Amino acid sequence: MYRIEERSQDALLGRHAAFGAALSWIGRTGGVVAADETGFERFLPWLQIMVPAPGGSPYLWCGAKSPPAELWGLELANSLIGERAVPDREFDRAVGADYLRVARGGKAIIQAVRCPIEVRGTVIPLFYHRLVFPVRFRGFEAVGSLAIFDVHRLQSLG
Amino acid sequence: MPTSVKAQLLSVLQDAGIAKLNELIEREGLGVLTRGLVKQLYDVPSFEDLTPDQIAHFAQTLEKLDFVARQVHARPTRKAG
Repeated sequence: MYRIEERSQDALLGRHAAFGAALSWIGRTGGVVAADETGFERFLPWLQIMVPAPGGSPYLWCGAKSPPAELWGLELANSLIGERAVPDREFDRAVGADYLRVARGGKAIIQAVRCPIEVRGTVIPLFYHRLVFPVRFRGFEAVGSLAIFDVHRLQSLG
Repeated sequence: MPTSVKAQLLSVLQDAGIAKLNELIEREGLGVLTRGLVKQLYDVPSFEDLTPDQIAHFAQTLEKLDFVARQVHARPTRKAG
């Protein structure tokens, strides 16, 4: 039902400009936000940032162009700060399991995801790639998930 | 609510919001997120452009950010060995 497969960096190249910006930023900074805040802000609208925890990972940020904003609207995305899950809990558990792995391992992972999600009573199939990576603020560490639906392939940052 | 009482309440909320904002930026390094939130939530370039009502609303969001950050700091650290 949920199919999550590991991919190499090559799978993201040319897929969407936000992936290129994020990979470049991670390469330059190692995930330390203070090292290049301007570069970080370039892909922030597509990003989700969570603080990984075994009982669920509360949101620090949910961008206006991220999947929750696209599926449920910007108001819902803005209301997720401090919350531990998107409205579809089963989906959330399946895709959130790797946040702890990335936080503990300290390394980015790239995945292709195929899964169903329930949005306002309708189950729809999702196909997307995501880059999950450590995001290091001054006070603590979090995990960023840059997930972009495959239908948006080849779009620029504009 | 009388206008003067409302003005006083907003003033308190503004002061609390600014104090919390500075704390999150200085202590946690979340300046990039707080700036992003101002733009995403209210479509204005900076905190200084928010209206008193927006500042009062923004203060609630900052409290949520602060709550998450404090939970991280409150977690027990794993002992070596």
